[in-house]
Amino acid sequence: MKKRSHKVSFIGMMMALAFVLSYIEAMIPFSAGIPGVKAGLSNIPVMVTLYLMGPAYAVILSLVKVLLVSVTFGSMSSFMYSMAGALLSIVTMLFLKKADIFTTRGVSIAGGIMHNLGQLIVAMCIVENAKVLYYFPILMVSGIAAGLAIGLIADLIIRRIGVLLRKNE
Amino acid sequence: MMKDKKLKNELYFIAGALIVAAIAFIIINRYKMISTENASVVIEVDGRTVATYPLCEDRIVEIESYNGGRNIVSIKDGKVNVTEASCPDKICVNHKAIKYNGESIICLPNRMTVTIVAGSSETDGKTY
Repeated sequence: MKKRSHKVSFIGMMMALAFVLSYIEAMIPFSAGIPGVKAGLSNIPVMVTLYLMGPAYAVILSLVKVLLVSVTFGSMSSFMYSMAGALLSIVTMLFLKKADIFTTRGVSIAGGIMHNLGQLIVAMCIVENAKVLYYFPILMVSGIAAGLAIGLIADLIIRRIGVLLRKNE
Repeated sequence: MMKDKKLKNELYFIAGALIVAAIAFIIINRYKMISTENASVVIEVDGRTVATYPLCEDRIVEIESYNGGRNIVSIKDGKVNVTEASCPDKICVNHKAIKYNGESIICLPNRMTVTIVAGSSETDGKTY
């Protein structure tokens, strides 16, 4: 993956994938009365990019994803939550990957938790009270579960695509 | 780093996160069990209290919320529900009715919260 064109096409593909997965997720009514509980399918391409293309590309992908999805399916307020969640999540994952203390799965779980925490913090600031902390336990557990699922899937993809990428070098 | 070591780190991390969640859950549940006999329903918009009603009286009120938004709150049989809202996501409308102390329904787009607060109802002033 040395050529610039390779990188550009790879990141473009991941962006498209993230966008489509967000759309699919928006169609499935998953949250049972609890806001913020989501599988976060669109984080699979983010994880794959982080491991195969490096941190800079992953950050760009993550931020552009939020922007695209909010403009298309969301509102101003949903943009703020998503952005806070995505930023906190991607920064955490960058550091954990760099620190090399977790496997892909662990990095993804931490990312899932931070994603939910980021949204919770923004919600607290917007409604200006701590009542949203009521959702903290359920968001914590759902973050772990979603992070684990995403981590396992991303790990499989990273291993398989990684082999292909090295072959083409 | 060794794979076993990483797995161990992960297990500690998950266990830690679950313990924090469990502690938070226990604290919230304790708080919930406080009697709602004299509780009131506090409605806030953008961090300011706009209305307070006793939980024991049935009523339906319309709340003018943030940025021209509108929410209809219904209090019935000691349960509070948001029945209508002008927000796009309708999370507050789909939220189940609340009846325990400290529970709340939050409409983020309209910046409106409905909370049950124990023991601060108007009937408090009465002496028995």
